[in-house]
Amino acid sequence: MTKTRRLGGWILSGCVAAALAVGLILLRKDAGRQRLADEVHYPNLPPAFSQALEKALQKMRSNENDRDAERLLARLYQANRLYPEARAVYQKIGAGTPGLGSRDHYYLALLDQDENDLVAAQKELREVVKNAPNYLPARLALAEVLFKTGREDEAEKAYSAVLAIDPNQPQAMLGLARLDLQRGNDDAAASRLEDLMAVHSDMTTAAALFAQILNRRGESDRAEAMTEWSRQKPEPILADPWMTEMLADCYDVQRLALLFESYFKTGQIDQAIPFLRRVEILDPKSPAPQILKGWSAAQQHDYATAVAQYQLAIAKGGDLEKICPYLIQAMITLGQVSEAEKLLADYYARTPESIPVLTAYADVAARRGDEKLAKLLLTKLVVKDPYLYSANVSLGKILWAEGDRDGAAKCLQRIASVEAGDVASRALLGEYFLGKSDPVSAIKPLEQAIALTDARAPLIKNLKAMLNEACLQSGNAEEKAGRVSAAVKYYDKGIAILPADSRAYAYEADACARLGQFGKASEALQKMSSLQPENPTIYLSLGDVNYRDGKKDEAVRNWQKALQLAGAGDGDLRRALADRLNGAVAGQTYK
Amino acid sequence: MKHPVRKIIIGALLVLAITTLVTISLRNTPPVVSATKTANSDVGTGKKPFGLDYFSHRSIGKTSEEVPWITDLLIVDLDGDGLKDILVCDGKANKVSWIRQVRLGVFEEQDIGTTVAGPAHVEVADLDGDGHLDVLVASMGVIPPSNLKTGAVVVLMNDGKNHFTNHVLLENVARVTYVAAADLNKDGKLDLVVGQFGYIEGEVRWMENLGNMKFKSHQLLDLPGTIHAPVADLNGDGNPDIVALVSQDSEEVHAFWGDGKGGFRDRVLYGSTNTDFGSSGLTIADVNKDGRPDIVYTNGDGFDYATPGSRPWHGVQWLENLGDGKFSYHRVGDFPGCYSPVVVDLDGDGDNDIVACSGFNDWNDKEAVSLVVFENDGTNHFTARPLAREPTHLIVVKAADLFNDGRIELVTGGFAFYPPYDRAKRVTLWEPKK
Repeated sequence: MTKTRRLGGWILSGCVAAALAVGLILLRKDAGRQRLADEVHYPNLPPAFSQALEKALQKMRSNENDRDAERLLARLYQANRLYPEARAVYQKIGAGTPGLGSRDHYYLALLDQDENDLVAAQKELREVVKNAPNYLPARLALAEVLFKTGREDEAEKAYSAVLAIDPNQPQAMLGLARLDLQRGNDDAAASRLEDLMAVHSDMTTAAALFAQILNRRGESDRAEAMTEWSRQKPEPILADPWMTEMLADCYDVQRLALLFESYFKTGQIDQAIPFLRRVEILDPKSPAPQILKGWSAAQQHDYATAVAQYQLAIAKGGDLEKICPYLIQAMITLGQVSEAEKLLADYYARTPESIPVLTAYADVAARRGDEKLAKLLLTKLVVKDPYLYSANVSLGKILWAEGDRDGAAKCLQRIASVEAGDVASRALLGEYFLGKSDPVSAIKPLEQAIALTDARAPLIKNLKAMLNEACLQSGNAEEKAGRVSAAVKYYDKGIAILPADSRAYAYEADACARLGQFGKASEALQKMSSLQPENPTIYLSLGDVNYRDGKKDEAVRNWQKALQLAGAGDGDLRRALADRLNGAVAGQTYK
Repeated sequence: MKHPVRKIIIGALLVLAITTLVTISLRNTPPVVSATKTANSDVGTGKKPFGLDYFSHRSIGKTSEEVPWITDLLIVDLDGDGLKDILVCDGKANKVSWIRQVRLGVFEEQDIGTTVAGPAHVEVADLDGDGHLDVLVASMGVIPPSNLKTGAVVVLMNDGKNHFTNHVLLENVARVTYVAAADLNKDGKLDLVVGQFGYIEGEVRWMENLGNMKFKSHQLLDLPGTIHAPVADLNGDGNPDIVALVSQDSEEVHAFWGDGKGGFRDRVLYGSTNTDFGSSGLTIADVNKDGRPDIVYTNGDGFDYATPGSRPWHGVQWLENLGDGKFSYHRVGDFPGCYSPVVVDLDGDGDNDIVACSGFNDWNDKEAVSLVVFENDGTNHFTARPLAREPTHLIVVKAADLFNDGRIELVTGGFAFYPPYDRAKRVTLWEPKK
């Protein structure tokens, strides 16, 4: 028994020792993996990165306790979005003496935020705030993280702490306004945003938010102005020196291109350009820098540079379909239409099915007055993609001018069905249907066009006149078909659109009288008489309606008025009135 | 003394060894979809392991030479014949179509209704209470970024004879990306939740059903970027709540807590401070089967001017519903260009897995993954298992037992925004191999 127990003990010890050995080997291996990935190749990063990495690794290897070398390596990994590697190095720094510093915590917080681990980010940011209380980007990031994790009260305190350091800090003011809004306190939010806009008029996000509150309050003019204001370039990106320092080690072309775009969009050109230059140096074969340069040149109205850059991008293998529209647009702006046409003829020969190339080629052909070519290309284009706006507009124009209104109408219908905000197509469709004696079909597009048009715009007069015409013609057709009630609805609509057109009242009065709706008929005639107070016929009709409605005294008064207004030479009218006033009224009289 | 000392040493070694082994076993970073990862082996469990050969796939519906722009799909038995069909939003054709399962496994596609500009999302509901499912469509007007008021909510009214007529419920608003029906004020009528992505201006609204197909709008949020806004009773108070995923510069998940009378209180449940986070899709499902609806969402949007593609932080996460309006964030795993989370027990092992697809991976890399399942180990820890590398550019995936055989099929839609286009497909059916 004792022997067995002893043996068991030795076996147990052996197993534990073996397990321990395996564990230690694995732990060692694990530690090695966490520390460095020096054998790993990063195919998505340029050779310059590998050189920088090798240099950083060498520096670190030369002195195991050189924390600055470790930090350099960690930031190199982080700047190039190699996050697991960066974390491993930070872990090593943290395990050493004196451990992680404020910047390390901040960089770890940036990693956590990128990866959306906001609980971890919060912990790191609190460390930064504790040890570097005046570093505003960290305080703001903490406030944002708290807001985004639903911790309103703590977020409020964090934003307020920022304002205690910088009373007009725009992001903190905006954050507090958002908290006010989330709590349903529009007034407090509006007041805060008003203050913010007074000191930071470039805060377009705040302007957009403010516009929406103003809209809710019914202050539409001011809301519109604020909306317009908000459509300017985005507000400047907050300066973050620690982040900038880290990004100096960035070799990731995608990240650099995005950084360029972000700064360029906000108008921070001085900050934007170095990123673009870096992209160009790191990846000379990539067309991306030329695309970005072309784009930014065009934004600054330097179209000659834009054209040159876009052409370079294509020469470097950039996506022709993607670049072509921008290139051609820049050439057109420069007036180089015939050059653009030559270029497009070549592109078209190379990619005859490409929609962007077809679109650009058709546009240029139309501008050159080559309607035959434009029509050919546009027809091909709308077969391939039936709902392209510009193609349908251009083809519609050509067909309309050629007199092929049915063909043009198809284009217009396609535009109207996919472009909810397009007025021109709807107006032309209205005109088309009126011309085709199909007033009912004209009503909907015209109604939509009016709804989309500013009430003060000169176009509105014509649109309303067309819609009124369509309603009256539709009413007449309904009456002709014996559907008098339906006709009245159209006349009502006509009156609502153009109350000054006396024809609608006359039609409505007649239709209502036919339906026995004398009250409504009388009302229509009274409105008509206010438009034509000297017209005796209206009073004759009004009297007739009154008479049939059993209101004989009113009838007589209106006939008498008609008689007063009737000219001496208007014998027929005077006789008719005299008959009525003399009581010679029969059923036929009013038909 | 010898024995106690030895025992202490052995005990210490044992503790050290166990600690070491536990440390090693617990050390795990979030699973990353690796291009070189192979299928796991479930030796002895009898279930087929997930991997690139788990599904066979084939195109269904119309064939087209055009680069596909499918924006959404919905699996539903639209005609009530017992066979599940697929509704398709085609952003290129500006149409909603119906891939009808006419016989088991046989699909035919037909357009329904007339044009809907830039359809982005599709749902079904019997909006007029006539016993037939109507089709609700979120219409962006134009799909690429635009601040034009081209959005609309369109319902394709079903006459019960497979004939659908367009009826516009809302128009001339910021681009609409989401619409769903639910009785939000508990008056017995189906109301609507509408998400408007817009561009600079956008919002979330609910539209109160006044009867006779008349609706009154109530604004809930005035931020651009809403992608999805589904309805669920998140806090178990019996009242419907709304959850909105708002991307653009916000990158936030909002909960609108409903009072059952049409009043809603907005709170940010979670959000990213990474403005390039790329929120891309949200679904509500009881991930851990604790009876409370959880929130699963993806980030993988990669639209860019010069460099479209993935980011290292793209992937899937879930917000575990802890009750009382509290949620706990968990990362599920990384997946470049990730879109369209689907919670489903894909392998039928009793726990919920999460399927997602990629719309914005590096498609020049033939090893890039386009479809993945995050396999649940039974304790809500997930491991990424690549399911496919092509078709590429998959922006939507849906799951259901399409053939009533107890197995889950997938349907995916392709939206090819940037080259290479050669491996992009319109609508693909994925059947588990036997």
